[in-house]
Amino acid sequence: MGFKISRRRLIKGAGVLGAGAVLAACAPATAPAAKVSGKVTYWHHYTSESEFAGLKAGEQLFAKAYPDAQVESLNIPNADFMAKFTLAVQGGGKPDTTMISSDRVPDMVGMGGLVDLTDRINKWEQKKNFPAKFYDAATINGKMYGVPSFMFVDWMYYRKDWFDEKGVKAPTTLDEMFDAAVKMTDPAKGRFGFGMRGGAGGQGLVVQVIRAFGSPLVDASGKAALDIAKTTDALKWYSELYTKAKAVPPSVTNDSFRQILEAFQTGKTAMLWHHTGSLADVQSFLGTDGAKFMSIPRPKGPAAVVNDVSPSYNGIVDKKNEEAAWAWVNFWGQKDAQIALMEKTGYVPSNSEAAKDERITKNPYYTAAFSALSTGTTAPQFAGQPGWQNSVVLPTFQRVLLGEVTPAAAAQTLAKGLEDAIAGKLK
Amino acid sequence: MSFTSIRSSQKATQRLFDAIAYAIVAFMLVFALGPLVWTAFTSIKPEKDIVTNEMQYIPLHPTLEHYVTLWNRAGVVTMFRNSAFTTAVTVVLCLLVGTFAAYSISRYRFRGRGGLLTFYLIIRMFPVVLMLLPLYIMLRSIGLLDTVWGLALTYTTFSMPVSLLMLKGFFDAVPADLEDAARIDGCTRFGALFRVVIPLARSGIAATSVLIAVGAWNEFLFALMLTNSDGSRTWPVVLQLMVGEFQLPWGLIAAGGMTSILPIIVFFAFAQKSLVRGLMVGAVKG
Amino acid sequence: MTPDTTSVLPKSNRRVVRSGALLARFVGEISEGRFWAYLLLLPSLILVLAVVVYPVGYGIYLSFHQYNLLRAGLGATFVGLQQYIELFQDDDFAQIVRNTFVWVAGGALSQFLVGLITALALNRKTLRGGPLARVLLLLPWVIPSVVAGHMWALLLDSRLGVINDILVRIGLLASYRAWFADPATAMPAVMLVDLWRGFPFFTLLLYAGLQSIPEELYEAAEVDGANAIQKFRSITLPMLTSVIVAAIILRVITLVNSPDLMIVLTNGGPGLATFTLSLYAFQIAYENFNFGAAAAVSVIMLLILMIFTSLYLRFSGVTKAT
Repeated sequence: MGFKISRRRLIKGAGVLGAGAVLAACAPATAPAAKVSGKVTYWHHYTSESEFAGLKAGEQLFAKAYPDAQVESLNIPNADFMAKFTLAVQGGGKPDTTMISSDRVPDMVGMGGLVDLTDRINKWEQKKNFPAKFYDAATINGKMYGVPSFMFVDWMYYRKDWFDEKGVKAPTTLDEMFDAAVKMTDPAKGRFGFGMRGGAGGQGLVVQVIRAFGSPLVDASGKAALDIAKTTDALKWYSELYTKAKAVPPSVTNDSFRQILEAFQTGKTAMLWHHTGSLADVQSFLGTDGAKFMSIPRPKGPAAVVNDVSPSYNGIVDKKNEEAAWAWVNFWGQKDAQIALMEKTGYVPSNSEAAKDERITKNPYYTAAFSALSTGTTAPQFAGQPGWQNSVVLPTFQRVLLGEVTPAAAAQTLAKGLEDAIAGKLK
Repeated sequence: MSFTSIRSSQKATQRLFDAIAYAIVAFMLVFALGPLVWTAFTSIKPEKDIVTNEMQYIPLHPTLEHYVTLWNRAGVVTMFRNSAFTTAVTVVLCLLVGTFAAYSISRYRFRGRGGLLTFYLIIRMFPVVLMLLPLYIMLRSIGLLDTVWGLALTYTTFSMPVSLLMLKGFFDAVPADLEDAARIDGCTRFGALFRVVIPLARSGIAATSVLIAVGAWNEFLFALMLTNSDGSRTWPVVLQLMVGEFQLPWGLIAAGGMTSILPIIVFFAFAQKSLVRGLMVGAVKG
Repeated sequence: MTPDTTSVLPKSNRRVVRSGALLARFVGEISEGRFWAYLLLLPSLILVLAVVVYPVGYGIYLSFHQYNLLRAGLGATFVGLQQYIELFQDDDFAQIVRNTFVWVAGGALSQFLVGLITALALNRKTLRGGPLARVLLLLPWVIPSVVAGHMWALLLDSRLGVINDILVRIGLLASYRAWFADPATAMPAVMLVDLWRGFPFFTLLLYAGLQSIPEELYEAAEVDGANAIQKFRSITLPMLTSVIVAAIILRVITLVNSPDLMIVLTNGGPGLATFTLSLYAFQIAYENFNFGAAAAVSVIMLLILMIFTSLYLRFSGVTKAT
């Protein structure tokens, strides 16, 4: 079945390829330590059919392992998740457990929404199965607040067929990428070199470029430490892909993930930055045989390789049924649950035992992600960061793209906003 | 000047106006329905015919898969029912409370009467964003958080000023003489309200209920924020939940949109008569 | 002369009255008392005082305090007018207020005009198929904003959009345009979507108003030799004033307070091109958790609305009519 890991095929192929995994799923690797019972509520922001199927498969495994406990899960639109979580923490009616995307940990801890899991994780027999850095994003002031479940590994897609046609090599540095983007751009064919995410959600990528150019965000004491010169260079390089090279579609300032994915799917762009979460969607349009497109690590910047690994965590919010809550939270850190989720969604497991699965290691598309387990970076986290990125970085970068402000002025705006964000005064 | 020539020129003008009226209505129908027709087409196209380089005007591979997916989503039926229930309770509560208040303001002269209406409107003007937290805490303390009743109560509060404004107009239009007649005949004031005023303004009341119902049926923010379980969520939440972080299932959202206007079409089909009469009798007199 | 009450009372109502006879008699007696007018207002007052007054008061209180939920332990520190002052010193804030003005004034006016023209056309007595057209024209108003937003995002999409395709086919455009990506077209595009969604509201109310104008007035004017424009100016508009005022106030309140279309279509961008106060308040509160500043923005929005409403009511002279 070649390189395929499309969702449907995964489900069908589970019997062939994943026989071992399925067997393992029937006999939980670890026996429940304490007898747990009662209801556990769980908030998450899964939305797609495949994600629901993965969650359901996990719930069934959990029910087998802990027959006396019930899980009641509630899905919340990702965009409104923090508003909803804030209300519950401030106004009461908290869930017992929650999914935590890594950039939200400091905010959730800051408002007193997460329970310290340090002791439990230290005593947990699965702890060793995760690289230490996987706990970084969920660790605040030395305390751990989340158990890693699946993870998203950043990477880049490129149109292998177009590159081959023009005899261009897959880029390994940002400079090579810039050149490739220019070469791939062909207005007559309606082709652009790079599908830049300049609309909603593009802020994280801007910050990654800034880091690749060598600027820190915060220093060791937690103070804002943006390097103006390096940030200016970063914004200049990134924006010139559009303003100077015209290698980005003119819709860039409104292009959120949906648009850049559709542009890549329909053959309008040659390169796309995203992470492992979108593989199945790209494959459903461009095939699974590696002929049309391939995934590779993000190119090296002048100062650093920024190829982020972002585990999704689960944590405890309310202690009223702590044993059952812990059972549920650490269950998603285990091999069986992670394999079950992967089978439905293609999401990469964070537990190294689960990541050894052949469907990951033998799949060439995942080569780019697999190495990131050891070499990948994790994004720096601090309270107020999502707000800073969304309400300062994104609109300011859009203004650079529109030519309303210079990269140098934008760097100043970013630095000022970062100070406000850290002081909790951002508007 | 001959009488007949004026007649004929008037006729010509009338015909011209008729033509203009038809043109306007036709244009507006295209403007209003075009996007809906496109939504309907989108809802029966497979995803690959939507995300494509070849614009497909007529669905070439019609499919009901999106409707099936929608139907199979957990809790969809419950949430549809919740929406219907919340909307119904909101309309009833709103009409009840609004009718009393509107009648009082319409019929009696008392101090602060003008200010009261403005006060209600001003209360309605405060941005919802900041009200969420206090409202959440309050509903929780009275045990109505995460219930359709809590939602209905909230909607009632927020729609009441609007329905008050409209109902007052409709009550103003009911001649006071009729009420006086009933009073002479021995009706109490309360009796006169129920036996004379409400029956006469019933079509106006129907129009007001449409305003309230559409608002309650489509409300999303409160519906999401003030409920904590699938058992009390409403239809707009289902729709919002289709919008994924890493994908946008066009067909599914379109199918959801078509489904959500279905009950309204059915309602209009049945309520058309009384509604139209309501709009004829009524008139909002601020 | 004895008034014939039975003709006034519909039969069904008599039954209702009988079944609730005791309660009705009780309430009926109360209704003869001095405080009846106030008693009628009581339910609505209780509702408003219980549900809304505290949250509004809390919001006004917060606007004078620095309060960030991520630092809830620090509590709310009184800072007086500082947050207001900071807002007014902010260059972006001026643009956000300007955008809000364009969005609200442009939106309310365009929707009113289109709604009025449609209502006038529907009001032609010779129009056939009127009842059906009235229902069909209401549909855009009925569709939930989530769906409306995303469907228009698809219609106007720079790659998949059928509107672009049509415009290119009929030669109005050379190639597909990214309407939401260009600061010059982003706001008009969002306003077009809201026009689609909002005009039926005006059509509904204005049509109701038109229907209530007595035919005799027009006949009398015709006898006096008035032409169509004169009739419109001297009869239709004055008779519609109160409806127009009510409808515009309601719509303006909605426009000021609802960021939902922007959230779906542009998220305020590109740059700040479609950023409005309601979006700003939402972002400050639930992305930056700076509830104090969000409260200040909310109070400013409330003030703008209050000033608008009172001025508008005064100049339109509607309050006198009541």
